[in-house]
Amino acid sequence: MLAYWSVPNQLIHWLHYGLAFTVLFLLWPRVLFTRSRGNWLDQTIANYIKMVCLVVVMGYILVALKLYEDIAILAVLIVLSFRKVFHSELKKDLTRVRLVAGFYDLLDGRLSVRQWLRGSAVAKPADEASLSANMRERFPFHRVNALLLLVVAAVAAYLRLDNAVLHPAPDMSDGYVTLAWMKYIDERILFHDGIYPQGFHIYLATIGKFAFIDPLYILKYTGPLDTLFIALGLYYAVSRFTNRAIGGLLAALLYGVAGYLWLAGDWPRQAATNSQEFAFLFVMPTLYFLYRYLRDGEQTDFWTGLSGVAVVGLVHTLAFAFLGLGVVCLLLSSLIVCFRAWLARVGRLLWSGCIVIAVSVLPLGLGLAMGRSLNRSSAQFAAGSVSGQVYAPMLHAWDLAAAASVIVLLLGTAIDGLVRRVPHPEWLFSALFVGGTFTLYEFGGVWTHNAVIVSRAADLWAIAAPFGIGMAATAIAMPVTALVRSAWLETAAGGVLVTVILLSSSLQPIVPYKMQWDESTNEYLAISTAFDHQAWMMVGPETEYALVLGQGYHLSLGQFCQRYDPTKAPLTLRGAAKPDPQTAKDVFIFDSRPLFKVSRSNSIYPLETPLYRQEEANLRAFDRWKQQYNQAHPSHPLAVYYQGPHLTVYWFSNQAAVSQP
Amino acid sequence: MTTLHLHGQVSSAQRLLEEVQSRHLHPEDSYEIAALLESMGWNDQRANAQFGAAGVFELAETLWGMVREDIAFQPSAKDQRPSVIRTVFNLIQQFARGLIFALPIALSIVAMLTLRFSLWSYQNLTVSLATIIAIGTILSFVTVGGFTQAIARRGFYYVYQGYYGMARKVTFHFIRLGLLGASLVCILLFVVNFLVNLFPVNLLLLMIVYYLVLNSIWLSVTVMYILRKEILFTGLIVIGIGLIGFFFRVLHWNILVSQIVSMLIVSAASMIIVLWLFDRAEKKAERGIQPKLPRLGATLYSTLPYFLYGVVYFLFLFVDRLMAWSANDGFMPYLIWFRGDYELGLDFALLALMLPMGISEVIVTKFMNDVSISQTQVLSKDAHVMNRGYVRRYWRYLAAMFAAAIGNAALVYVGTQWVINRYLGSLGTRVEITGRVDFVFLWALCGYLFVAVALLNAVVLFSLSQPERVLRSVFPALLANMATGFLLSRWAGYDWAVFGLVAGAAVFMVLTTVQVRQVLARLDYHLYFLS
Repeated sequence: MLAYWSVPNQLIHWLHYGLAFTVLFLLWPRVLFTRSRGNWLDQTIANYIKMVCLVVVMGYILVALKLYEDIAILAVLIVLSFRKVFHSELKKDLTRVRLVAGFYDLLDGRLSVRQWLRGSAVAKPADEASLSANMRERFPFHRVNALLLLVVAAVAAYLRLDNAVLHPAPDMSDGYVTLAWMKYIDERILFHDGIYPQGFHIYLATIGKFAFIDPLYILKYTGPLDTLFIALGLYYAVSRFTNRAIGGLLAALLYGVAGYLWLAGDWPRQAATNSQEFAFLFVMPTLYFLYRYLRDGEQTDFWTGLSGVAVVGLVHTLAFAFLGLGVVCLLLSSLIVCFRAWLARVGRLLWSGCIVIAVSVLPLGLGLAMGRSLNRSSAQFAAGSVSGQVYAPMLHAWDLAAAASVIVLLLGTAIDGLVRRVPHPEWLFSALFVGGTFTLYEFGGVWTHNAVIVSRAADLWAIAAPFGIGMAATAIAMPVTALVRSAWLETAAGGVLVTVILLSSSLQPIVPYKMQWDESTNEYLAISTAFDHQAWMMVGPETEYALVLGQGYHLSLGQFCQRYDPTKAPLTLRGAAKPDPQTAKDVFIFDSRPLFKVSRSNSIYPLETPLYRQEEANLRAFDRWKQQYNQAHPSHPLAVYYQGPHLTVYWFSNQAAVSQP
Repeated sequence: MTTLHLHGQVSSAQRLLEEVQSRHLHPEDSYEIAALLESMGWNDQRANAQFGAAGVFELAETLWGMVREDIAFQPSAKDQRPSVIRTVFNLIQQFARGLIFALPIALSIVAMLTLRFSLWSYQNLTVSLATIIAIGTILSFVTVGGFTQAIARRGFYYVYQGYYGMARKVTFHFIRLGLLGASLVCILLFVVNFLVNLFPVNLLLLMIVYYLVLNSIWLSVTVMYILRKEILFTGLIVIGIGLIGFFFRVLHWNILVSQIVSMLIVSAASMIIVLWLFDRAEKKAERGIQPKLPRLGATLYSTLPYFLYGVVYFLFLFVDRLMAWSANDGFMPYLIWFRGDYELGLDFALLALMLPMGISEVIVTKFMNDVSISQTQVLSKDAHVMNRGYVRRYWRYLAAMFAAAIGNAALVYVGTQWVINRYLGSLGTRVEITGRVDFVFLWALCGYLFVAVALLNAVVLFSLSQPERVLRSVFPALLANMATGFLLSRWAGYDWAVFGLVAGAAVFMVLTTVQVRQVLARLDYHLYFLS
């Protein structure tokens, strides 16, 4: 068994993950959805949004019908694809006719394989010149800008993925909940711990269905990628709103590399896996597609935008409200700037938006119909208010810069309207959106005392602020570059910005807090790989339940000591004469010392303290159990499966008990 | 038509034509007849002396005209009906041929019940191994199904005309394609398994070995079928099972090794025998014209519907198993997990297909003979009467088939219970019919009953060269089978996948019945089109 962090192990699992992601979210949508306008990046993002929407809606339906599995997912996708293929122009595509006719000519020896393939590849550019033109079309921004974006993406990826590659333990206490809920979806159980949007867990489970790797890897890889995609989504939105790369580059850089400037204590969430960040990823691209629909009236943009709204609604409530704020700002700015031209489209968006909101609320109705109540901790958190005095967050230089961007954007709007006389609602939209989020961040907690707003408004501001700065930077750069008349100036400025921010940023990989030793998680993976599925049991701390769920069985150390008699043949229940045939074939006891504890400064430490006391009591009970066992079985002491600095794993092979009739 | 007048020697010419046709029933053209005449010792002088023809070629031209207008020389068609004894003998022969085709399956089931192993299965395998071998077997049926149908169609076409050389060429062409396809499937399996971790590598390798060996066995079975040597193959199966017994019980080899070695021997022996059979048939056949095979593209294009039918049909037969075995009931180490009680129920029920297959062979032969006779006897103005008559006759045959299939199913159900409870019990062999096995057995009997009727329809449609109509029936049947099996196995329990088989078979039966009815209602048109 390769260690989690070993290069071959990571290569194999990334390959599986990458293939599943590519097939599901990049390749299949090309067959499934109508091609939308724009270059490959627009296509890819639009397809991703629509595919995630389809996966989540389909997942909800299939889980509710107890049909959520690979075969059903494939069947639905194939049926939808067939419908598309048979109703599209593909039917008349001459390329296909040539391909089939060529195949028969090939069989008759009239064509060589090369001739056949060449003959059928009519749609591809034949010569170097057209290939080059195609490349230019694919990369509309300057290559240096692309390179700069690549550098930003690489650094942002390094900061987030280092933890995912080197540390197998799930991140933060939320990681275990996400992992368990993902596995419940896999077992076709909705709202196991109460009603909570399950879109993200369906997304995770669906990748897992096609990646065929331990769900832990899906958990570890998806979160960092989501936050990386938020940064890239910011680049996409700003660069498309402004039709220039520089603002997008700056926004991506600020969020991806220097996001800690706004996120502060929530910065570690960038390397963890949470539904909130997943929902955030869709906010800016969705707003852009809705804007594009208002501007051009294209159906594909309308559906992409609505899909994005639906995804966010089905994934996270706070993100949905944030997107709602964006949509309101967008509609308002559209009505102010282009009232007559866009009124009909605004109206259409309004009523269709109501339908999407209803769709997003459907899972709640479904959960209530199933007799479930709201997830207790989430409901308490959402409805909870902070007692005592709530202070407005202290504003730092970058907060002020972002707030100042509102003024720049308002000025941009005014100049556009007065000087250029061209309706450009994107500037006003940006100003309203950034201004609205800033108000929520700065005063929302003070006014409402709401726990969610107090603790999470910074996460919203961390997205809106780089967006505002990026938009404002472009607004400033546009007249400057127009005066200087050099495209290189913008690129050079981008290079300087990237260099300065990278050099001045703390490029320390993000490592969120853990709830257990990495060693312990690594041993879980080793056992899960080496032993038959669901034929083994882990005896260990409660935290590890989510890891083992669906792969094997889990029992707490305390229950183990109470249940099994150490003086009899292993593993015999107390009061029984023979080993228990119901016990799993292989039983592994995780003796973790010293007990892993989160830092005392961590806000969850007080919540975990009773659990730590219980685990310490369990370990003491196990010491007594072990002593009694070794006394009763002097010739067969406990077998050690693994021994490391923080962990000893004991192993009972219960084959004899299992084979007994 | 030739200008030669036969000077009242029509009966002599008819006799000569019959002699020519005894050497080759369906000559291609007048040149082939000329060649055959020359090979029979005819020359220009003799043709002139006996028939007043200018030469052999003119006589051949005359005979060719008679072949093309043989309706003019068929008034005695009724007189050519065989005697009662001959008819009964033919019926028994046809019935046995149909029955023998299913004999290897029956033999395997009997071997499993008595010896606990057959050529490719073993009762005491671990579930993992049973899963792997079952998947390998199903995969072999599905991927080779298309090729076996293509071989049966094209090979039989040439064998029927006496072109053994062409039959051999086309047969081995498809065998090569089949083996190439199987190799590609193996590569694909490796790649897919690497990507999706379906099975451990050692188990995958085992699956591939079984898959490849079984593939070559099915291909050779088909060739023996078109050469009408089903008994030979049944014998080979018996020898194979005997070899396994020898290796496993006497030499104490591992059962898997015993089976693989035995299957390899059976496979190699079948291929050698097939080659020898072709060689012998070619030597016996008249050394006349040896036409070239049609272009490969044309051959593949014309056999494509049969190929597709083969693939879809075998998928239809096995898809309910896949649905049952993929239903997650808590313990699913792999995506597919073998469920013995489901398989056992289906295996017992499979016996219900044997008798109907024999009856089907008899009905179709009789039906097509009658059609052939009617084609030469019925005047075109009476075509609608003929069509109606055949529709009525078809309903009668269908009712007979249905009744026979029901009776047979009841017999199989009672007989199997008796054999297992009484006979095997007395032998000390313990086979347990659990409630689940019984449930699957009963409903699968119902499903196979429908399949039997559907197969009768399919063979009628194939005989009338209407493969597309069969395809149009079997494909919806497959979908019905998959959808019903999937939903019920997930909602009610994996054994409920058997209702997929029942629903699919019912769809297959109804749709093929509608198709046959449509064809027979316009039989004259279809016969004209065929000729």
